Amino acid sequence: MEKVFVGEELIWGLLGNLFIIAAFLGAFFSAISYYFAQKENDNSWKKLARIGFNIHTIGVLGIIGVLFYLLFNHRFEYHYVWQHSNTAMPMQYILSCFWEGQEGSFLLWTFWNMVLGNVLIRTSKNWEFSTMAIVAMVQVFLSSMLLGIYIGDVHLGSNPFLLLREHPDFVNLPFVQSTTYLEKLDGRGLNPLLQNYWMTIHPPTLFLGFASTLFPFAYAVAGIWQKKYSEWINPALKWTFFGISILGTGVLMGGAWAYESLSFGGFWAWDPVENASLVPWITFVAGGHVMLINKNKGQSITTAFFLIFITFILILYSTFLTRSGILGDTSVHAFTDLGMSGQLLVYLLFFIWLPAAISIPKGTFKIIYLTLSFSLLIFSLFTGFYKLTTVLFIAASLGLMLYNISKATKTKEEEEDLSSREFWMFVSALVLLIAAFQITFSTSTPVINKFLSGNVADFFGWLNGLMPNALFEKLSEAKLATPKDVIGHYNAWQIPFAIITALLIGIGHFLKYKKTNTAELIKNTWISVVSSILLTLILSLTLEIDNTLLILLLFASLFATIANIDYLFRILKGKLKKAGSSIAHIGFGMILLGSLISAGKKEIISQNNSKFDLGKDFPNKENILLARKDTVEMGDYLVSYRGDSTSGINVYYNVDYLQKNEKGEIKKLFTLNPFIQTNPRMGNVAEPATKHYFNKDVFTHITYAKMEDPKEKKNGGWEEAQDYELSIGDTVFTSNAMVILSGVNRNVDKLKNKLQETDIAIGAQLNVLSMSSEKDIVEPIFVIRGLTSFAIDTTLEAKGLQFSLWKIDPEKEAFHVRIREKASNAGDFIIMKAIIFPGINILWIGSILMAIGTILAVWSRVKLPSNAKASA
Amino acid sequence: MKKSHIIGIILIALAIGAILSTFSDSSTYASFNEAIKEPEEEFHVVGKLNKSKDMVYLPEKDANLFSFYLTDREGTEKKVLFNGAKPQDFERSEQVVIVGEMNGEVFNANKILMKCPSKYNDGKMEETSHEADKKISLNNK
Repeated sequence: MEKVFVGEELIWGLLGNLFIIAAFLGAFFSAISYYFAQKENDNSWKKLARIGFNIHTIGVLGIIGVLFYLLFNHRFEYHYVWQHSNTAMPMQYILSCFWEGQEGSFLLWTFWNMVLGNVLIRTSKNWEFSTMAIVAMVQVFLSSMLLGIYIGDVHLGSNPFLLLREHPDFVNLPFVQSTTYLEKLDGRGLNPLLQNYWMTIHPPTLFLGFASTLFPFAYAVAGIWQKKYSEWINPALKWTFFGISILGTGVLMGGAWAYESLSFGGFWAWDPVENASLVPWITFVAGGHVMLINKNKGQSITTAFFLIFITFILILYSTFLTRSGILGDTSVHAFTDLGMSGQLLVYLLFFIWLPAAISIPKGTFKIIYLTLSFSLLIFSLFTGFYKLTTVLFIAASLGLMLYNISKATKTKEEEEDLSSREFWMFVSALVLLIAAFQITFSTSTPVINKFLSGNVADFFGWLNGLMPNALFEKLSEAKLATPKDVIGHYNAWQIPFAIITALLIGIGHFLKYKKTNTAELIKNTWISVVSSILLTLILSLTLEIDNTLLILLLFASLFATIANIDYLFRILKGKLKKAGSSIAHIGFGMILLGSLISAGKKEIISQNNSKFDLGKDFPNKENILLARKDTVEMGDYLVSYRGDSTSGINVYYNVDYLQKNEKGEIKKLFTLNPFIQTNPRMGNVAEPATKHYFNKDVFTHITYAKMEDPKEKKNGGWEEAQDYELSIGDTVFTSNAMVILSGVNRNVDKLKNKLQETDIAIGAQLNVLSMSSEKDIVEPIFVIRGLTSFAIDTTLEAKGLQFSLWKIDPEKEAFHVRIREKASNAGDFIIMKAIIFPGINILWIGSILMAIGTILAVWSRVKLPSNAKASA
Repeated sequence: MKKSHIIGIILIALAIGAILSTFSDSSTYASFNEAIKEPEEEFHVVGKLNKSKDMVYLPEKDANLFSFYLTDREGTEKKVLFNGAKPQDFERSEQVVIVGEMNGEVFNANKILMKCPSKYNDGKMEETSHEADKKISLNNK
């Protein structure tokens, strides 16, 4: 008999699965119909294809609707809901829960493809059949990742509507056997780290960027298919620049997120995950510009194809890198989720195979390629030589496709003039390509290890036997790890590339297609050059930049910015219609300038004078210890830790920044509240706080704080007293201060202390010096009244110390002082790091300008499709 | 020679340069015993924190020094000095990757990568990275 579980609403899962099947089959049906529509140029196929895509659209929207319903109503019988949300979570983060998981993020990706697909149907006119066939095919692959079915042993996709009690991790657990398991069940909740607005806006932007790379790709494949090798460029251009804008915004948002709420200490760290999204953007930009060359001059079509293909493929490769777990640690986790990675790989290989296959003219050669790639597949499946065959297949297919395209588009080779715009645009595209290659290759070391391990490594071992050298030995070990100096490694390559790119951006608009008059060029650019040189001089002197490469980069980025501003106002006269590309280029120049200044001249002000040195390799000590209520000098500031406060799961540490003014008075400038998010299950996370000025940021984060339960309650928060026997001049230490008995007061003010005239009162003068060498003087008093004696204590609230003089030994001239400390004194300190980032606002303004400029260029292209003289 | 040929040659040279620099700049995964043999070299050592031995972090004395004992995959145990603050929740780590070099019998680490039991995926690991306090500045290059 079937068990009935109390409280489950299974209907929603059923409905959701129905939508998944609709989305999958709709896309499949649409892809096939579009294929025949194109092949037979038949409008009845078109009708079917559109119906198919409508079903797909309804399916995707349905899945999303059901998943939202489940999240909103806390239906924890569903694994995805249980895993990513809980009842305590604020509702504004429901979007974040939605795409926190892998299924949700693929759903988001599918959603954007679907939305843009619908736009394509309505705007592509006679390109609809061929481009939509590709888009629908991609949607078949993406929606298959939500299926969650088994075909034999192969797990196809991961279903967001899987029940908790049917999930492999839970199916055998006793608590889900109980029919009432739902009554007490709460979800696990959203990772607190992700409970912020960045998680709400960053993934949708990035995935819209990902989705946007599909459309130029679809046009390019359609171009090969229809043998319209350069006609696709014009309709695809607006898609390309739309994508560049969105993807670029997504990448920069990632950097901003890292800067704002993670403790990286910067906005870009050449982290693999960051690189994975940056690389496709770079090739996309290169592709867009080569497309412009072709549109204006009819050249470089093969390169345009290549760049657009590689962008699409790199998006898939990036997803593979970041999702497969291969980046985690090369040596322990291989492919943890074979289902997903395998599927992504099939997806990737299919879209390398497809354009290659259709690029071959009909005939025997096509049959040879098809047979060969099929036998390669069989061969690799059965022999395990899949690594070599995969690489071979990718290289051969790409090469073959490019060869076929260049053969089909062969025109009279006309050497570009060295002074032509198209020549330098092409060169800058190649610089971007090689920059992208360098980043990808270095980021891929875990993949390279995987590739090397086994027989490839053995081969290098054999080579090393023949010709022993460090390179072969390293390759034969297949244990490559990230470089020692990651940032230095990337910068060594990327700074020169950035310099060339920026110089070309600066000069680009003043070059003419075909041939540029040198005199005119000089006339147009000399002001920008001279003012950039002057500014470079001023800035490098004031900022103390003495590295030649950095000075060159400073000049190049200033020149890119100034020359484009000049072009925008002097040549274009600020006309908004054509301003897009100038604004975008100004933005790019500012991004470089801002990165250079903020990263190159960032100053860690929390320097510590350390007592222990590890040697030459570890020169800098950058964490500072702040005891509570203590004030310490740090850079131009004085900082004071005022204590902590708890709000929800966050513990905030209140750090005051003070500064001495001319008169020597100490004034409070601002308070920062860096915090630690407590999370018993996943570990505590420190989040920084930043004070933004227009010209710099003061970034502060906690590197260490004791997080024990507060012991405050016992004895009113006082520790056991410590007794000291002191002579004048003796010193004792408490956990936060140094106490010196400096003298004895025999003339205690009796009136003030409410003592009687006949009392004998003696005060111990104690100097209390804290770490900041702030001095307090306290005077506990010992009183003899007739035959009895008592003590008058003194409490120093600010330091959490209490002093009592309870006995005097006249013979030894010893004073017995009892000191009690606040329990919080011992652990009440924080260790923090503070960094000043100068000029980071230039970077953010540049980012915004670049996004706006690119969108403006797309907008003017959509607005004036016919007479659009390319200027982006 | 045509311009396109010159550009092509430069491009290929740069690509080869990028590949070689990746190989030469890259560090290597190793065991303590391998790291001892080349004391000046930087290695990545994968291992487990020995929770029975002392972990020492005295921020009052030096906020930038943390020491612990790590057992590598081959079972060799060494003391590790980390030039930075103790990573939050270090005790919870299941697996630790340290980056640095051997100095006699002590490993000087400048980076710690640790894997902790994830909040979200039982049985799966989540990774965090902790850099030592080295000035990461463009100017150093």
